[in-house]
Amino acid sequence: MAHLRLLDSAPDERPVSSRMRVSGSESFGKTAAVSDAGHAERRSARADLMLRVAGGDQDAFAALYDEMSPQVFGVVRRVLRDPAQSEEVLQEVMLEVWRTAPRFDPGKGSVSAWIITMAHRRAVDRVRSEQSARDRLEADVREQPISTPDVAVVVVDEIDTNLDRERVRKAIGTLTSLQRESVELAFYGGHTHAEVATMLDIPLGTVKTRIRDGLIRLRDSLGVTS
Amino acid sequence: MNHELHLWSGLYATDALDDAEREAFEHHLDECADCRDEVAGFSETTAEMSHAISSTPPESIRAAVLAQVANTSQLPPAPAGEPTGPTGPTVPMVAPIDMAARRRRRLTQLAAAAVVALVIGIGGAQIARLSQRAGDAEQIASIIGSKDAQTMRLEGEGRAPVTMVWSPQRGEVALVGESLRPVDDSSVYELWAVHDGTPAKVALFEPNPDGSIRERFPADLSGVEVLGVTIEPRGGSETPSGDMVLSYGVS
Repeated sequence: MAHLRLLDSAPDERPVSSRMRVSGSESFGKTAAVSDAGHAERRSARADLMLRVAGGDQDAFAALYDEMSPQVFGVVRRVLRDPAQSEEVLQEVMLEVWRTAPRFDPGKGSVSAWIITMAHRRAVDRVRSEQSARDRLEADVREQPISTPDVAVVVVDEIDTNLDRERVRKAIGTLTSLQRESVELAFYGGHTHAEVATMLDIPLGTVKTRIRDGLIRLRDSLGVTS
Repeated sequence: MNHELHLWSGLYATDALDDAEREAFEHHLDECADCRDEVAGFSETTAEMSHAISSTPPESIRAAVLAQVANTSQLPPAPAGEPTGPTGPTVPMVAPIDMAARRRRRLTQLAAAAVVALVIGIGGAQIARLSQRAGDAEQIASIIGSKDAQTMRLEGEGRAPVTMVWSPQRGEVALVGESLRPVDDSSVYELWAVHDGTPAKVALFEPNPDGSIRERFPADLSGVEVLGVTIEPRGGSETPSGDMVLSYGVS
């Protein structure tokens, strides 16, 4: 089934105001909620898969790669923006997942939280190094002009409807605009809180509380259990 | 319990702390069960957030990773009491990258975007605008990517920084930034290069409606130690008259 996706949902860093306006006008049609039970089931299935990976099962790892790589790649790509670097980091992260799988502790959180945390950290560490900052700038410039703030260019995505995506976007929609901007710049943009403060022209302390309050609200509306 | 640090959980979970702050917070985490719980919940939350931006990687990466896995041994399970976090030595094993292929792909994507815009019926003028901007962007990107590029960051209090990249060989400068405040209709930003204490006009520029800066212009910055940006009357000035709002090299 097809659904609408903004062309500019590719990694970008246009000022938040324009992105907000564009995503606000988006229509997802009917949103089916993913039941908590289904969520828990998937989480436990993934933990089982992880146990097999920890035991050296390469087929299980391939399955885990198929499940997790779009999320990992999405995060890394959004932060780094440069496609070549993003692919490198995806490889590094997935290899690290394989290597450290025997040390994964299901008591501390889900498999996906473990992997995404690792991926985001790596992407951010890389982006904060000097050379990659320039690569990022270059990629940013190349990718930005495809859309303008006034024109929401919409494409039909042939990928099957992603219920998780809709669920998350709905939850993000419940944040205040400042919570949303702060959380998005920090997590999706990979910026430090000092950068976020400058970009939004608000005090550092305000960024700190907005991000925390925003995450609390997201956590509650997504029904996340740690 | 340190109350200030307690509020850093969200910054930690989104990797918004710098290295020193991160380390300080990790010390705090060792001692604060509440924060550990909160961070765990936030990590689940950001993992969920990643669904909103998921993107299928190229099939070639899958093959490369699976091939590497076949030749990579796993760590033994952690002895009791040892942290089990995702920190471990980096494994820099990356397949060679075909840059030319990447570039072709990128151009193809750009072309595809133009086609999509046509299909859904955006007016011709806008297409022209988009493709002109794309052409400019390509030029600006190639200045930034040039081998001899020198980067300078123009900063000012309360303003988002603007990055300037100069390629001496091309004799061109690229100016890139986000969230620059617009100036009123009667004003313009003017960039100055200070040489031997004398400011010389380099270029006039304005942010796009979305606050972004994407400019390129010819310039020779040899021997320049200080750069500054002032707000001047529309049309620019011959000598700076406004306050310096952004600068580089001023101690």
